[in-house]
Amino acid sequence: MRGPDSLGRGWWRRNLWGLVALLPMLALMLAAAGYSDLEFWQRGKPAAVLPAADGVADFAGVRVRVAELAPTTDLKRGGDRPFVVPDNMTAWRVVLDIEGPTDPKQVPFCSISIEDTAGILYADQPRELSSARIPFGNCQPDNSPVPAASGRHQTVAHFVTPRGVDIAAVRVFFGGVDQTRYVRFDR
Amino acid sequence: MKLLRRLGTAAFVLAALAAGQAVVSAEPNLNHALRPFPVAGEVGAEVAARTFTARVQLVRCAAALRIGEHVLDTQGVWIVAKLRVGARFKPTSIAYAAARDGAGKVYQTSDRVSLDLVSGGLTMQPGLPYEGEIAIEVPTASAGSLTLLLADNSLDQRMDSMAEIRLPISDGSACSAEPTTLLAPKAVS
Repeated sequence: MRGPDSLGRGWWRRNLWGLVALLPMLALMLAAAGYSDLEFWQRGKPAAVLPAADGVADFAGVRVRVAELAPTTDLKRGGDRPFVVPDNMTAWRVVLDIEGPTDPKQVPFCSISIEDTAGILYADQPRELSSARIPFGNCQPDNSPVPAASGRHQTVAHFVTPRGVDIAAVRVFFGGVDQTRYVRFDR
Repeated sequence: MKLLRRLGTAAFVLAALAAGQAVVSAEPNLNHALRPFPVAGEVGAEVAARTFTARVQLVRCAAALRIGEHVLDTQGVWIVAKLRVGARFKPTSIAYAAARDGAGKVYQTSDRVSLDLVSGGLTMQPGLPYEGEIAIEVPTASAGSLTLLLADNSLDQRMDSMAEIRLPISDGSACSAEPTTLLAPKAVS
């Protein structure tokens, strides 16, 4: 810290504007660091892609629509014996119509989940239905309940929720094609 | 005078460097800063972590576990906790369970016994809880000062919530000498 300069100004006077600018600069630095973290966090959350007005979503190289979303009670065990859903829960079936490449190997795998009116998510193949005979809802033609033809097939997924829960949306995630987005079909 | 000023400047720089080093090396260090967020609770009370809820319903300890026809003994004791657990807002597993003693030592679930509830890949759907028992092997001297730790990630518990439930075992030497069996997970109806 030197003494007064030729104009008679001391250290504080010479550095006044630098000192005044220090606080806003510090605030800007913190804001930029925070914004960077916030943006990174937001990028980690997949974004919803909505279907067109006709209910069909053109995404990940396939055209998808929800053909059915409803509670189901007609589940079967092996040997065609009925599977009884426990009293405290509801089983749901989601059927997707899929139109895509005629080569089955080109159809991307998907994972399907359902979302209730409170935003809570439920996954396919729940342990509660492990004794029921249900297909893999993975968008693959070889799991289609109807024979695949001309690139058209179906995929069926099953879920359980607590009884009384209402479903608001179906989410379809093609993680092998796009990790950042999913298709959201509102009910 | 000029030399004195230069020495003062050098001393100032050294002091600034020393202060920086002190700040960097002082606690809390990075591991401390990234530690899990504890959600503490007591036996009988529900603890709500970020992705799951957990309630310790009962705790006991024994010198051995009976798994089918096999008896698993230990040089310490087995701490057995009956849990009620559930997912909160998305399908969730509780893949990490451990007990921490009063000295801060952490004992994880043993691979000697299969525990479907916490490390066997049980994925719970929200609103559909499960009950079952888990067992953790600890030294006898640690049994009186244990806290059960539960988290949803088996590999990395940093920067996420962790349920911490104090286990009311007063004396590890008073544990049952008889082998005890574990309740398998079952859905709560």
